[in-house]
Amino acid sequence: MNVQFKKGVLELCVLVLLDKRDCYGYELVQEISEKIHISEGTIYPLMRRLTKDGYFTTYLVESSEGPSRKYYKLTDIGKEYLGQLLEEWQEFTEGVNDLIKGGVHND
Amino acid sequence: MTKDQFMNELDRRLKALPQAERMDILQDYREHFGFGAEAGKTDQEIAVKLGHPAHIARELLADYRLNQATATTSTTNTFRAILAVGGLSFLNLVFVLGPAIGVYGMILGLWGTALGGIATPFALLLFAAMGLQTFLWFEFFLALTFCGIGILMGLAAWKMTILAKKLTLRYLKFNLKVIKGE
Repeated sequence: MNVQFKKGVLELCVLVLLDKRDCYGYELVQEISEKIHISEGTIYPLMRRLTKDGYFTTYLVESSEGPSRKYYKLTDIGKEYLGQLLEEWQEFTEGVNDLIKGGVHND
Repeated sequence: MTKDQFMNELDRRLKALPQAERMDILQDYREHFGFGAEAGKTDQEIAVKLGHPAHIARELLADYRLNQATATTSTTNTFRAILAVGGLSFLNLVFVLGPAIGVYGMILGLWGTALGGIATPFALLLFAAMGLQTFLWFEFFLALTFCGIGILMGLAAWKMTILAKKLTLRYLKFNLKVIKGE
């Protein structure tokens, strides 16, 4: 999948993952890049933006081995925003799927 | 690209950002390299997957400029944001810089016409005083009319500038969220 609008979808992916549990950056990047091809470096700017917008808060967890982890936590506003994005996404994919089905039938 | 090369390149390209913010960003990537190394990956592999520091920096800069323009909507900040977001990709060059030049060019034209109109009676008086032209009341009243129209156009230009800046910021934000910056 290599569309210009992938970035908008990436936002949805991050929000969905954080709705399940708090994650640190590297973890998010790994989970997403397992499923979608992305430039991993672009996730961090996205996380900064969404944090600035108030959708996440962050906290540091020191680790005995390896670097300390910056965890992201979804806020109430973030949850609300996720709900809104999910609705838009479902509407959008249903529309596209309908069009695809329609196209196949007409062949 | 090694870890040091990646970090140095990113650091260099983020010079425009305040120190604290830059350090915070660099820390994210340093951590990323750390976790990658723990998982048994080489710095080279990690750097390739991260993408080029130039792309990452461009996006962070666009974000920063846009935040600044939102905080203080000065004309300078707005143009910096337009340039930063417009420079993200060729697609953005077309979708951001093109329309921006069109819209702001038109507004600039309006400003020019307005100022020209306002200046007419003064120019007329100046010419008459310098003896370049005989003073005619008829011409003077006509010039006053131009001046009035100029003032009205100036007001319109002012309103349009404010509106254009507001819409520009909103569009840039949307653009930054949706269009892939590479």
